[in-house]
Amino acid sequence: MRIGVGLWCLQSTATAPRSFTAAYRDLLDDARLAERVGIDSLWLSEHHRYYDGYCPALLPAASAALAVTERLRVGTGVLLLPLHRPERVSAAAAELTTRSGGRFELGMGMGYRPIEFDGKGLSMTDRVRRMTAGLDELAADRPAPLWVGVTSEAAARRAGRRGLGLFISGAFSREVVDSLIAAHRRAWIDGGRPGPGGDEGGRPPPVGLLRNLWLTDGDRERRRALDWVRSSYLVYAGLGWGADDTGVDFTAAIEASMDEVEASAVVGSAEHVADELGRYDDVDLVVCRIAYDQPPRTALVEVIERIGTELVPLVGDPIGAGAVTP
Amino acid sequence: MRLGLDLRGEPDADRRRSLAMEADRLGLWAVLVGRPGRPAVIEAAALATETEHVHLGVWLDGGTAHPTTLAEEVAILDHLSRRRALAVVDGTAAVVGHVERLLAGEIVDGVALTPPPAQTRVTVWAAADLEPVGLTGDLDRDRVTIDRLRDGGTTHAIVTWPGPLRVLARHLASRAAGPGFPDLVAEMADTVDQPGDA
Repeated sequence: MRIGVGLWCLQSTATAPRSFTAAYRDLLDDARLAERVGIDSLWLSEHHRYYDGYCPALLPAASAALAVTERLRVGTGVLLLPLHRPERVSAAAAELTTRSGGRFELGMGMGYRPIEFDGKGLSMTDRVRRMTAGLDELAADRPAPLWVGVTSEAAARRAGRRGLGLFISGAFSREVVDSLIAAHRRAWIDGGRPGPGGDEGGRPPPVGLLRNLWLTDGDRERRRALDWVRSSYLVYAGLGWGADDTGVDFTAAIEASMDEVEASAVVGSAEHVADELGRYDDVDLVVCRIAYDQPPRTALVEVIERIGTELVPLVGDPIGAGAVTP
Repeated sequence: MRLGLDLRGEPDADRRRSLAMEADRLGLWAVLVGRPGRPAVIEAAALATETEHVHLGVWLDGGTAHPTTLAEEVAILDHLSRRRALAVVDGTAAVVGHVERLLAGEIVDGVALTPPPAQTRVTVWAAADLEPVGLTGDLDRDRVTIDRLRDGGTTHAIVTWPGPLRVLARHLASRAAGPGFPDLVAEMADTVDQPGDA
């Protein structure tokens, strides 16, 4: 199992205001640290038009993180494909692949905030059409390992039938994870088992799982980590408040959402976390969601070190040991 | 007048990288990267991690992305480079103006750039207004060119240069700085250089 860390969003929130320039400097420090302690990959996340400066342009940030590392993989988890022109994303991904010696991975999602589409002169009602057209173009080019960020079975099928990796991006229960993996696999088989080279009959595309996860000693640390995870969803709720017309009442959903997040979070000793992750034997990549603005920076640095030195030896593939990529 | 180095015509990526790093060491004001079909901001973001001082100019094809997308990428480059981004936009006046206004902090069509760049405002030029200056490596001729531009009111010139960057920095960037450059100092410096100084 590959162990990555995420999601770097490069924000300056009302909760924890900071310099954006410092955020990008910290990203490079974190990438160097993650590499040094043996973590497989670091993942970035995109949004637009939010007051906190949530990173709107992942590819230059990925380029800088790749430039300061030699073995670490850097991925987008996820780039909002319908907001971009696919041929340009493909060219940039190919450039990153060349420059990094194949260490870039492109995760793509659909987006859900109308305001982000408006800002690019687009309509959100067009997003599925733009997503599928974009995925077709990227699947044909294969400029990097490709993943599709999903929260629904329809999206999992979009990924599977094109032979693209499944990046499960929500804080889902085991049952929901199972249903998404099954939908992905079925669509891959029905689609003729497309492989990375457009060939048929290859290996099934890999499955990645985002998990709220923290390594702790004792109950007090555990409670503190769970509180960070819970409160991080206030930031997401804020994004939702900026997204009218999504059909979701984010204000009403926040408590339930935080409970759901807490229930699916994996928090405890490295042995406990390794046992929990061991139950996901059909998952190739786990992205530990640790980078958000509630934990103090010292705690973030410490957990990156602990994931690399304690968790990776228990469950991780050594870097470069033929890890499965899409 | 300040000189920036046009790297767009150099086909080899490793060579562009080493030239950018040398321009950084020699105190040139800027380098400019980017070609059609190649996303310049990817290369500039990597150069940001390998240089400290030189401004990183990106040539952007205004026809390949929404102006907001171009401005967002430049803003991220500005943070990664710690206030060294500048942009040359090849597009209509409307597109160039759109990118420039967003990077100056204006709200354009209801959109504010998030995050804003690190600089107060990022310099954005229209490609049509930027005539790269082809220096020849023949110092007698290039001195005339530099004097003409400087005395004609040019403040920043993007140049192509065929020789060692050290010669450009010593003889021509120094000369461009203001009227009355003592050529003798540069020529004497050439005579005391040791092999390997370049």
